[in-house]
Amino acid sequence: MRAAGPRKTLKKECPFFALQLEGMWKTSMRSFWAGLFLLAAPIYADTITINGLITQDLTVSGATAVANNSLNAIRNGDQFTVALTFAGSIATPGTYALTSVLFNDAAASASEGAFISGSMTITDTAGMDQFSVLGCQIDPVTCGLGNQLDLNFEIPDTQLHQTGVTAQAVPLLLPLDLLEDNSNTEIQGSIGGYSYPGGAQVPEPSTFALIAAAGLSLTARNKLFGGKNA
Amino acid sequence: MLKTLFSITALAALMTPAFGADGTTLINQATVNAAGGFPYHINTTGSYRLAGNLVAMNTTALIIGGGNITLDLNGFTITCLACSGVPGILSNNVNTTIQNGLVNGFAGGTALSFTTTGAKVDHIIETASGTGIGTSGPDVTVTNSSLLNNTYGIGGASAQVTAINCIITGNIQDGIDVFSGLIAGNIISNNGNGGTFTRGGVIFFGGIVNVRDNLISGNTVFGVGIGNSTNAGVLGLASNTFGGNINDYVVTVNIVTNHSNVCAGGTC
Repeated sequence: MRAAGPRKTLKKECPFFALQLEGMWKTSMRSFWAGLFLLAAPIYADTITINGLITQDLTVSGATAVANNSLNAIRNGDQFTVALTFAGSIATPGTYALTSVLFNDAAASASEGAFISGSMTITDTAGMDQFSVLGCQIDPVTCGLGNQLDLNFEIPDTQLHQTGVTAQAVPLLLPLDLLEDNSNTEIQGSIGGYSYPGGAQVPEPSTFALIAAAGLSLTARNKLFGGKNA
Repeated sequence: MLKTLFSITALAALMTPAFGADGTTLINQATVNAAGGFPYHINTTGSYRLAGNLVAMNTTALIIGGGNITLDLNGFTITCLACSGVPGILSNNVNTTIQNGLVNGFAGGTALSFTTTGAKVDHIIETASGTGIGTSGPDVTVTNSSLLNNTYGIGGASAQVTAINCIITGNIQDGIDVFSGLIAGNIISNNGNGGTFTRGGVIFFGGIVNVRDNLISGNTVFGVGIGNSTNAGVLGLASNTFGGNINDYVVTVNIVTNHSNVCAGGTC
């Protein structure tokens, strides 16, 4: 005959204390699952990177960039990148708020990251994901004055979460338009490449965190109930 | 309380349209999408300007709800893809002016559609729509514009239409439908060639129409015809050049002025 386990013995000999311990165990498990949810929450930021070539520098208009004079060094044919960062992960078309926008032209040592807000709209049209991006500078009121970065491009919808994707212009729309100084400064570009290296990841807790949490739970249970099944 | 007031003020500031240095709000595809997509609503009196092309997918591009609004297309194009029966720019308020750009592809719909008074269109090139410019309001003024290859060029059969210095060509039914008004200095050619019934360059619907200084050629059935069944209306014709129309103009109405016209196929 199998001997009664410590949990049964405790319930029989000291039922009040057993109830207290059961409560502690349940509380411990609730804390564990809450911690697990927090670990699973998308608290990271993903980044989509676009690259292309400058097609209209400031020599075309003869304007001089004032607010960001590094833009004056940009020349036609320079390769540029735009990094679009957002909270969490993108799995489907929709409209997403950007947490940062960074334009960079390494050849000219020019960059622009002073955006106060950004919005990225992805529309799936005939097998293509069309991206429309607006980055606003200074404040919401003067954004539309001509202090903004606009992107319009498309990629095959099967390649949303891939790197090294060839991007192309949306017919009739300007791929890159960087407007500053109330639209007196205008730099345009074509778009050639798209990368979203983090897009395929599903937000999960790290393996280490899971093992540690499980280990802590088992240790706690063993301490409370002797580590044997009832 | 202060917190609430601050929040409301901040929210209002965020919702305020962005104005350019000259008080002009810029609109482009990115700003439209960031605002929720097409149709983009313009409800506040003022001046607006495109900062890039707009491409709509079978939907109205812009709805103008405020009065006294000027929309400068700034040389850019508003295009509708796979369009069927939707207006391109729809104005529901008074004194709308649309100028300086291109609009095309609103098949089965009206590219520039007005429902009330004071509509003005200037320096617009419009193609491949159901109707290029149409109004259900009392008047529309179209100047220095081209209306090409639509079903109807200008649809104003119950309105006073002023059309000056325009090119109105290749429209399947009528170049201009007009109740009353002034049609002057235009090239009105090759309209009505794919249409049915009474059709042609200028079709008027019973009011008083003054047609002068136009080149009216190659239209079927009429260069200038009448579209109402009672043959009512008063027509003035002066200094027009007709050529290659099946009928240069209708003679069943009261033509009060008919001088200095050059006619190829009819009586002048």
